[in-house]
Amino acid sequence: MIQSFDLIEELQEMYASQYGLTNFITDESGDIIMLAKGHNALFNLLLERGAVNEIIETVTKEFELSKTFFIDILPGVYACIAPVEGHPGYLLWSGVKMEPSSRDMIKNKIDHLIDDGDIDSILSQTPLFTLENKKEWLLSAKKAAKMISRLIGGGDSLFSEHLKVLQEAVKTEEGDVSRFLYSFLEKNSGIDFLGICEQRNDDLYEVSHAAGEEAKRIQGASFSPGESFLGRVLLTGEQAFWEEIEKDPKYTFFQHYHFYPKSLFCFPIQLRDGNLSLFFGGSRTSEVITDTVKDLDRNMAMLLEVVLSAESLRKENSGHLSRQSALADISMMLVSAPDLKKISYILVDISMSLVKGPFSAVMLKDSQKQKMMLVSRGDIKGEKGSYLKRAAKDYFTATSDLPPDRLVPSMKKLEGSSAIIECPLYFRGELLGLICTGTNSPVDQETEELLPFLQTLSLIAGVTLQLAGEGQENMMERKIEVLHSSIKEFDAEAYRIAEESVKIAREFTAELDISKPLIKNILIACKLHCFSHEYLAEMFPEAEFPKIVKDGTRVLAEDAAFKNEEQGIGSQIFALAVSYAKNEGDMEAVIARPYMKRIRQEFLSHLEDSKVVEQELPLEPESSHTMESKSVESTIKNHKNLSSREKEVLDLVIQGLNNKEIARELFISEHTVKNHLTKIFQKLDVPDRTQAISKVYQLTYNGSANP
Amino acid sequence: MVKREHLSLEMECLTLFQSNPYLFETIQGLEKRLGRKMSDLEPILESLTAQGILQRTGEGAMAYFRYKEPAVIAEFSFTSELEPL
Repeated sequence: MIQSFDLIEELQEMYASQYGLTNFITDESGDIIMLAKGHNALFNLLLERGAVNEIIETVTKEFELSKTFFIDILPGVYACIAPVEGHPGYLLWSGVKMEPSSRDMIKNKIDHLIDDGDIDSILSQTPLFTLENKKEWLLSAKKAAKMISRLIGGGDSLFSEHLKVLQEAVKTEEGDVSRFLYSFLEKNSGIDFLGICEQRNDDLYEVSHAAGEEAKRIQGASFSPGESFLGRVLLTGEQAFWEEIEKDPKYTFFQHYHFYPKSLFCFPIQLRDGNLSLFFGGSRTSEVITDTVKDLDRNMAMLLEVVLSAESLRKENSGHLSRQSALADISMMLVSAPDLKKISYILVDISMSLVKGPFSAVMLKDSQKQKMMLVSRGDIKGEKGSYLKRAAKDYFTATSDLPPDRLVPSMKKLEGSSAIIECPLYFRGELLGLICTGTNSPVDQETEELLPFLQTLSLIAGVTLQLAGEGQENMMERKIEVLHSSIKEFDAEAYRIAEESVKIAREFTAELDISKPLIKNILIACKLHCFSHEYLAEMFPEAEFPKIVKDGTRVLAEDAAFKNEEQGIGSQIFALAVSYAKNEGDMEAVIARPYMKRIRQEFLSHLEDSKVVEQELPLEPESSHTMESKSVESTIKNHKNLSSREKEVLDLVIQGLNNKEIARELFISEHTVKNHLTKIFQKLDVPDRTQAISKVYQLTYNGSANP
Repeated sequence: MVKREHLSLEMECLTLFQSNPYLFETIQGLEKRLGRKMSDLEPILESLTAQGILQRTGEGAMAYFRYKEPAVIAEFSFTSELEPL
């Protein structure tokens, strides 16, 4: 029975992340008893699509399993199978790696498994199976299986205990190996000291970590391969146990450092980069090493190898890892944030906690309202407040596009106070917001180091803001349309008024010098005029138009207490448009209030103008043309002197065709067309084509004017 | 100045509180939720509290932490006073 699920899972995860492989454990009947761990995309895909099931079955049933081996899941794609010692039939599967030369073949093989994923990116993430790493893979799989074998069955409680120590050690941010050594010492009474030797640049080895009383004295001691006990292990590459070591001539090494152990063990540890490190330990009191202690030492060596590997991985990735994962977290958070407000919360908190300064403020431009939203932490009163206003004005009211160097985070030095980081948020060159974060110090290097991080942050934030803004606008528009069309269902008259008032308000506002967002809000107010402003405010808490409806309705209701002056231009236009539509276009009945004399006058004169336009409508080019051409046609038709062929030619001349086109149209030669034209000119008494056209129009006009 | 190694954990804490603005949790609870050690969490919670991002109620192990929303000035024009709503 497996009693340490958590620990095995932890182990699987460690093994998976260390080598970029996915692994799982099967039992004697081929069932997966520990689920797959790891991010090997190719193996995960194959597992997901059931492409490995058959192989698992075959391997479980037909193979004699005592050794770790490779199996090809597909031609050129390998998994490693390690039997779990002491538990017949249990197998640790890890994979997959691929042969670089089989790439194309593999691509063809898995093509049908992928719906829309990118095969190339999956393959490029898959580790390569090479001669060099083959052995390493076998060894690591073997070791992982060994550790698992100790956990299955749960008999080895000490080992589980160790693994817990290991979990802790791997979690520590800095991979504190010394802490790991001390934890071991605390838990194992048979051992007094532990240490690690690592290779230095000059090929000598050095005791890099030492834990335990007196053992501290040998920390930093160096030796060459072959020298003393520890140097011997470097040569042989084999683990060693020494008892009663005081009599050994090699003992002088320890004496030199005033350190007197009585027994000693040492294990070589192969690191990922191929270098060898040593893990040693022993007792200052006991001259013999019992078998239990030997087992214990082996366990520790195995676990330490994992810790050292994890640490070397961490070193390779240096600080980038934590920063990248932080950025990934932030991006996830920003993208899933529902609205601008939430995004601004995230930004203000991140900038604040990043810089650890006295204040941080995020200013966002609201495209719908042409106003700013400011979200802040810390004290922004007084001098800082005026600075923020200046900064906002500076960035947001710039008449021309900001130069590229203003679009990256920069440090601002304020007179008599510490520096401030300004971080603009933009998308495709359009400024959407600004983060201003105070620092505790004047401009220094440490603060400047934050700028690249902030720049990446500002890029992500810019895109997210844009997306959120669009999303919000779309959502609002959809809601408005739904409400508007619902009016039709319950009140046809209100719907007519809505349509009519929107039309007239749109025409009228186009003539006025007012902002586009205000026009938009007036039109929405007209669309939804019949809803109560309370309802609208509840439905659209962030929007401006419910207020227009509210004030406009009071204007319409002749609320005497209501003083609607300059600021309420939106509601005044709303009231004018709605009252005009309600009275079915009766200009006399358009609402009149003392405070809106001027705007009413403008509205009325707009209506006058549009009426003229309406009257002129029938004379618009298209319709007038059809009318004219009809009468032109009849003028030609009724002309007594012209032959029918000449009439046809003249008709085409009027339509603007040249001689060649007329000839083609009538299936005659160009020459004949010319002859016809000469006769037409004679009969109409005109010298040329232009005059002929003019004459026909003249006849038409005179004819229609004096029928 | 921020300690780089802590950045990731700090962001994790922020994420947790941001996405659960009504979370009211002790350090042990946070330890479980984030799968991090208490000793790592302590300085971070301390710093987030000092910055006013979190609010602490109570003392020691029984202290509860919760997210404190930032001040919002919803309509801010360049001339008006910056008085939070």
